[in-house]
Amino acid sequence: MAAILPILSSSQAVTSLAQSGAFGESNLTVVATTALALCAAVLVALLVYQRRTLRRYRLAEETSRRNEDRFRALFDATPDCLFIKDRDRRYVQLNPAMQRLFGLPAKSLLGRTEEELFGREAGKRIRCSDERVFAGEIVKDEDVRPVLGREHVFDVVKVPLRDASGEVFGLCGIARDVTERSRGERTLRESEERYRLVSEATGDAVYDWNITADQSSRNPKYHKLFAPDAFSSYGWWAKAIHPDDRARVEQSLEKTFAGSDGYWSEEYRFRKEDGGHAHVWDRGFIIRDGEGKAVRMIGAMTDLTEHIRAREALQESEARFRALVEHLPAVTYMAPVNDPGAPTYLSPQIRRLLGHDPESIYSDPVLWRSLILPEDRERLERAWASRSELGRPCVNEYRMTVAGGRIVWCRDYSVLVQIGRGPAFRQGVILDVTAEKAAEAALTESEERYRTTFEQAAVGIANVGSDGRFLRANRKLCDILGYGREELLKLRFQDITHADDVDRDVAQMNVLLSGSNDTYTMEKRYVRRDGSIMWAKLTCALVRMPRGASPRFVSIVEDITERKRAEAARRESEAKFRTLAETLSAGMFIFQGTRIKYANPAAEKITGYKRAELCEQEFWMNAHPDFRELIRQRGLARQRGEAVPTRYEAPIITKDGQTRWLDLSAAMLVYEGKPAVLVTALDITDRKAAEEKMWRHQAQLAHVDRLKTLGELAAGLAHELNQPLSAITNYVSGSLRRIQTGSLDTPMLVEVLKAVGEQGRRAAEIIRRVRRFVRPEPVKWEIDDLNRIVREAVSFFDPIATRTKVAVQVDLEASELPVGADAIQIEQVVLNLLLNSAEAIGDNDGDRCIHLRTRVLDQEAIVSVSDTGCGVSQATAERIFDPFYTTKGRGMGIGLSISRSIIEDHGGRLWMEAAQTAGVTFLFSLPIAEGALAHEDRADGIRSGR
Amino acid sequence: MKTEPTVFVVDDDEAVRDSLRWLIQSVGLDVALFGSAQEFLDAYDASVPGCLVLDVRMPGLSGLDLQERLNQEQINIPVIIVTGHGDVPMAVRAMKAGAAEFIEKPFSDQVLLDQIQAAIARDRTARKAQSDKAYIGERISRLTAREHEVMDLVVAGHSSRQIAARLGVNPKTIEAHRSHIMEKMEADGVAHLVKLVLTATQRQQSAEGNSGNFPE
Repeated sequence: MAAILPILSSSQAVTSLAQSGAFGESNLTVVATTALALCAAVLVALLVYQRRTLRRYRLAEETSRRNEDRFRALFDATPDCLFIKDRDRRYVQLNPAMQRLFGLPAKSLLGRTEEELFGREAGKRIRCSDERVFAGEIVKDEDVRPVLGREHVFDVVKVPLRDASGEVFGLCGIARDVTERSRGERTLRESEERYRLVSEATGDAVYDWNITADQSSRNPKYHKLFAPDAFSSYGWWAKAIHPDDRARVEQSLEKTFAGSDGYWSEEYRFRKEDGGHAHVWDRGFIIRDGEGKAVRMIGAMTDLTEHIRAREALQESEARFRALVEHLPAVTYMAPVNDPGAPTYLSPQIRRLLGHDPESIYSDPVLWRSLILPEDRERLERAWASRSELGRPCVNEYRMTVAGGRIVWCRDYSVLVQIGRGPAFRQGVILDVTAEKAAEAALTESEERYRTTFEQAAVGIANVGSDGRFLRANRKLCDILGYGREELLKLRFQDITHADDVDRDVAQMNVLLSGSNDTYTMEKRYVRRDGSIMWAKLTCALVRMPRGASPRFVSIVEDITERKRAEAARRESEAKFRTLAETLSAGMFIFQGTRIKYANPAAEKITGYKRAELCEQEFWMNAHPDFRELIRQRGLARQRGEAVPTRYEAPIITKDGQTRWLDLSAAMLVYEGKPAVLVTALDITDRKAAEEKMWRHQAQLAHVDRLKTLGELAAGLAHELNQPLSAITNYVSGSLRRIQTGSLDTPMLVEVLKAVGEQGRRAAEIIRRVRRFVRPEPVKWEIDDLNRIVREAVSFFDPIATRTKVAVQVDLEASELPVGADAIQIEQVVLNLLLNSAEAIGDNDGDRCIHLRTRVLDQEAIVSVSDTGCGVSQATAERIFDPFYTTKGRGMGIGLSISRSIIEDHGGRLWMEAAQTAGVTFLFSLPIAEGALAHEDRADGIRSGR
Repeated sequence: MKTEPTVFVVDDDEAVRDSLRWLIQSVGLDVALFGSAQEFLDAYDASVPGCLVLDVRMPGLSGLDLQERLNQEQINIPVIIVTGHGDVPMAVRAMKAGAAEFIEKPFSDQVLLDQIQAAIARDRTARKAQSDKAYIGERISRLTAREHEVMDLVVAGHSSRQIAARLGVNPKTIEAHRSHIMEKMEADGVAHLVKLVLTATQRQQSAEGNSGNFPE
């Protein structure tokens, strides 16, 4: 080391070298550097030394050359490989044997390194041993080196070459190829090793007993099993046998020895070193001498203790396993690999699963397959067919048909098992997973539903992280906010919330996070992508995540911009309404349910009550008592959504007891969020009074007209009345005559008196009709059958028809024609028309006929009276309904005029149609009344005041 | 052939009809009821004697219409017209048409029954006259044309000589004709012959002249 120090100039190299000395081989780089430095130093030294030597020993050259020649001959001739390596561990000299070994000329080998010649691994090994040589050691190696692809074993001796100063400058080595020798040695070693291993590995205690000498040798196992001094003699052996077995074993042995068998075996308990007994199986081969006497026995004792214990354990385990298998809530099975569809074992649970006994499945080779649902069978067969490797579990799911037809889902865990060298078979467990499948399907459905709901929802839905970031958002939300989904998922809700609402929202969210609430709802503003403000109703629910993951929120966002706008509009409209209502001259009420909720100042004025008083009342309470029920029913029905008249007139009683008529218009509206009825009320008391007056005038006029008509009818009526009177007279006279002649018996008298009574009533009826017709009684509105009224009029007219030889052909609508009417007035109209027609026919020859028809057309009853008279002129037609217009020689000319007023008062029309040839037709219509509303319609009649 | 008289009642009012039957039957007369003139016409059997009680005011054919129809068809049944309140023109028209009586309702039962009895009696007489006339007519038809001519002159009061002169034949021939005539006519004398001829001819005059009464 000291010699090379001056060569190294850098202090860094010095440090490295020092370290290299300390670390030795552990730092290869340092070693290489060191070696290089050493080589250089040696070369320098060698050159200096050689020059000196050449100068000093020129005379000795000759001697040296001779020696060298001799050495070279030896060097070249030796069969061992000879070589010299320089400090670089490169071959600098080598002999022909080495060239032969590699099959290469010397120049190809010189300068090469070990790695280049023997490969990396061997080279490294060699280099290690070389290092020791360079350290001054003589190294003997036996080394295996690959040469030309074949392993050669070399015995190598390497010695260091030193210069005069004692420095090692190279090494000289001799390597003998001992491959062949080494192979033999190795075989022997292996054999010995195998023997040792077998003898040590065997579980048996082996002994070799010289019977004659009573001496034995034993293998280590024997000692290990029993005692170090074991089986030193027969006596010891016999004593070591369990007392209970001893006699038996000894006898058995003696007997065998005495016989000629070469083999003996016995099981017995044998004492162990720890004092316990092992269960052993002893077999011995007996060697006999020429006389057959046993002289030697070589045997082995097997410790069966573990075996027996294992057997017992196995039995127990088997029993446990069977119990387990047969009580598992699953079916276990075994089936051959080549026919997995025909199980060879099925646990009894199969009965519970499929309703079949194992036996019936064993006995029917196709039954099992047939129970598998066809849809699943092919898939399962494929799974079976792709033979998995042994021990690799495989899971199949398929459906089977239960004996009752029900389908069960089976999950089949199976594995290919091979025991010993026996055939592989499939072993498996079948679980009934029908419920699980159902749950799974339900779950899938529920998930699908959730997903669909989420995606298809009409409201925006988002999953939001606890930091406010959108984790998931549905399409609607994106639409509402105007963001693309990708964009939205990069944002936090705080980013798109109106600045004024962020704090509120975050505060609410924190309340959720604190756990005191699970949901909150708020109305807030979002800023849409285009910058517009959007009002939304946000419902936010906390979702706690499992295993401490940070919680999330489900946010439901409803666009309520429209609603907000509507609310504003509503408030505005409300204000307008108030202003209007408060200034309106018409009375206005709003009622809801039974209570008046609002009344305007005009309503106060009309009713005389203060608003507060009105609002304490049920809405019908101010109505005239006759109308209360009607108004109550209509108001309630209206709120139920039923169709009731929206406009009608009704009287009320004011606070000071006056009756006032109101024209009421009702409409539905929503008041304070609930349906209500808005009623406007116009005070029509004055109009009512005027109408009343007019109506009275008209009634008087109609009465006059009836009196006049009666005058025209008088002759006919007299005849009408004469008929029953004549009949009565005749009956009475006839009876008297019979009494005088004594030919009247009681039954005849009874019949006649009945007939007389009938005729009396008939006369009375005529009188009643006349009186009714002319009595100026107030209008009496009733639902009546128009057909009946027409018939009454016709019977009134009959005498005239007879007298004037006019036929009345009556053609009535088949069904009743309910009309709300004053029957007398309508009768009067019909009678007027009949009289007119009769007049028109006059003395005309030919078809003296009046056609009287009733029909229904579009909810109206139509009465038509056609005559075959002379018709009317255009001038007449224009004036025919004027009062006091007449073409007759007598009469006042008020008949048609009054008739028209009457019909119009009844809500109908009266008109005339001239026929093309001759005669005219008068028609009038009346609205058909709903029978069920008789009461209300009557009220309607009264309110219309006519 | 029915010889008992029947009272035919035509009235559209059933009660009146029925009460009339009750009344008329009380005096032992047969009654037949009809609701209308047409019903009566359809059922009428001229061989049945009796009279007709007719309400003047009926739909369809009225009483007066029926009366006219009967005249047109030379049905000579006595007619009693009943009316609720007859006015003068109506009564005149009925009488002209040959109504036996015109009674106004309400009427006394006795008046009606008397009228009915009278009418029946008239019908009986008329029917007898009718059958006489038929008999005379039959005898007249046996005469030759010359005998008929001679008889007309005899009845006119001419003597045989005057007749012979008028006809330009021998009076003895006339005498012979007269003798045949008397024989064929079964007449006792000229006076009887005159009566027979008058009976036959006057009847025809009465039907043509719309005279109210039959000559007795």
